[in-house]
Amino acid sequence: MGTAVAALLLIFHEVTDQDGLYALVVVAYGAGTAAGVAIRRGLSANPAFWLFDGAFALALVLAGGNWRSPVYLLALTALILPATAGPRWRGVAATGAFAVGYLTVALFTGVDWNTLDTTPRLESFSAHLSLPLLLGIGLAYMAELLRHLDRERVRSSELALEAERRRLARELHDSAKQRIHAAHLVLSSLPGNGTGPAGDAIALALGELESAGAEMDSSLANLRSVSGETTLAGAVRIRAARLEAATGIPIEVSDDETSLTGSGVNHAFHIVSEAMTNAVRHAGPSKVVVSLTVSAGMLSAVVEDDGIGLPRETPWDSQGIRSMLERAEFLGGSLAVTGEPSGGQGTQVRLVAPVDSLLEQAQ
Amino acid sequence: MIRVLVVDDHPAMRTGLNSVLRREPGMVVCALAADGAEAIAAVEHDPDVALVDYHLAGEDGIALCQRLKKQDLELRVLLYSAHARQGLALPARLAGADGVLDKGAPAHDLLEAIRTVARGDSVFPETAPELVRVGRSRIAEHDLPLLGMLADGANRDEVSLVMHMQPGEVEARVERLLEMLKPRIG
Repeated sequence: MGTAVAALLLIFHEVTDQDGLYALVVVAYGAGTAAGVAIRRGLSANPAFWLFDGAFALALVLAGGNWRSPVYLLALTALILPATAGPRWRGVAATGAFAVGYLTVALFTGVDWNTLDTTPRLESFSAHLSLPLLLGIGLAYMAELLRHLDRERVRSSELALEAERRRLARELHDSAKQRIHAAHLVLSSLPGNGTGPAGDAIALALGELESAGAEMDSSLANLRSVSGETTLAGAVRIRAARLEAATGIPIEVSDDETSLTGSGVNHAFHIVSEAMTNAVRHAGPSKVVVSLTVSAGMLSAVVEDDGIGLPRETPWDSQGIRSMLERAEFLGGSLAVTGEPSGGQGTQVRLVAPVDSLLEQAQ
Repeated sequence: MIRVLVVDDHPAMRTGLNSVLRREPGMVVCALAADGAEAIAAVEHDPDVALVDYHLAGEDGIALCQRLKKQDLELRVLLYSAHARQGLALPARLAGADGVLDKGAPAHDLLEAIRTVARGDSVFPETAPELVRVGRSRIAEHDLPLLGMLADGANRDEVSLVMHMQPGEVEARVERLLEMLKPRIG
């Protein structure tokens, strides 16, 4: 679009008097970059390309020899990518750099300070200078807002799904499972239980009811786990990727290829997930490292960050930490949280639990 | 004759328990309650043993156990739970319960447990050493003696006497310990 405007201005504008070659370069450059971005998607996210694009556009203005160049709008389009692609400060910085670059170019092409005395010229020059700032900052804010909305949308749909699964789990647990317990209890109270043909039938039925209860426990654990992902490493990786996308803090996950599955995995996953969330939310680390290893029948899950360490008053009774401790307890494992209070040495959360407890139903 | 108060929020469980306990010689169901309020009201039927579901609507069995014990000092409370049997043992002791039983246990075990607590004994599952260790790590050092005494069956008055604490303070610290130790069921 910038190219089109520039070309039209070049053809119809009377102020500037350019040769055909200049117009050709402008059109070719505009079309070339548009095609380049369309073909190689990675290009539009590459800061080196933004720098080149902005510098080239400003060079075109310089080559045009006049700060009121028709290429000005084309140059402005170079701001769109850096302003919208990254965090807000980057957009604002790119905008500032562009404005300074443009001022430099304008000085080189020669600002006629005498004519600037006339009010319309002065206004035009200041508009040329402030337009990139307004445009860039506006775009950066808008892009940030859109990204924020997008994250919120994903989060709220995840929460809705989670709430639905919990509701189902609660219904199963509060009603169906109670009926199984009631039937088991009544049946087990029958006289002659275990002797004679009737006794055999009762024993069989009791066994079936016990299996039904156990199966329901494992379904409940699955319902309460994440998005149907059944291996611990798989679920942790998905969660890590989401956290990384939401916060921009890299999370490395390594596991020793043991695909742990089972209803108890849910608890281990929630512990690791909570530890990762705490790390990126509160510790301000440059990265988080998660490792899942199994040796001698014990799972060891470690979440380490290089952030600010534990607060002086570690909130041991907060809901999050309590839930982690309880889950570790249900697995028959132990959970250790180490980190110097505000020592800047990072924090380490280590869960050690018997692998057997992950495979069995562990409510 | 052991008079039993049944507290469970599911009608199937209440009906099942009622039918099993009624048929047992030497036992009678004196009241059925679906929630805490009904249970407290049923204390006037003078039960010997309250069989209390841990997972009640609006209130957990531990909190209800404490209220029932306040209401009737002689009442024996058996917590009946479908989950976290082991994790429940310690908080149940702290709350003054006389036993914890798994809902999956056959009728014979249930009847035996009711008779045991009615006699004045207690029925608690073995607590795994690992659980004790994890529980300890969560509790402040100065609360450990208090926890130890209560877990051994000492009552609140004995604790306040031995540890030179006001009864109110014992109560407050037990409350805090319970909050830390109670299993959460999501």
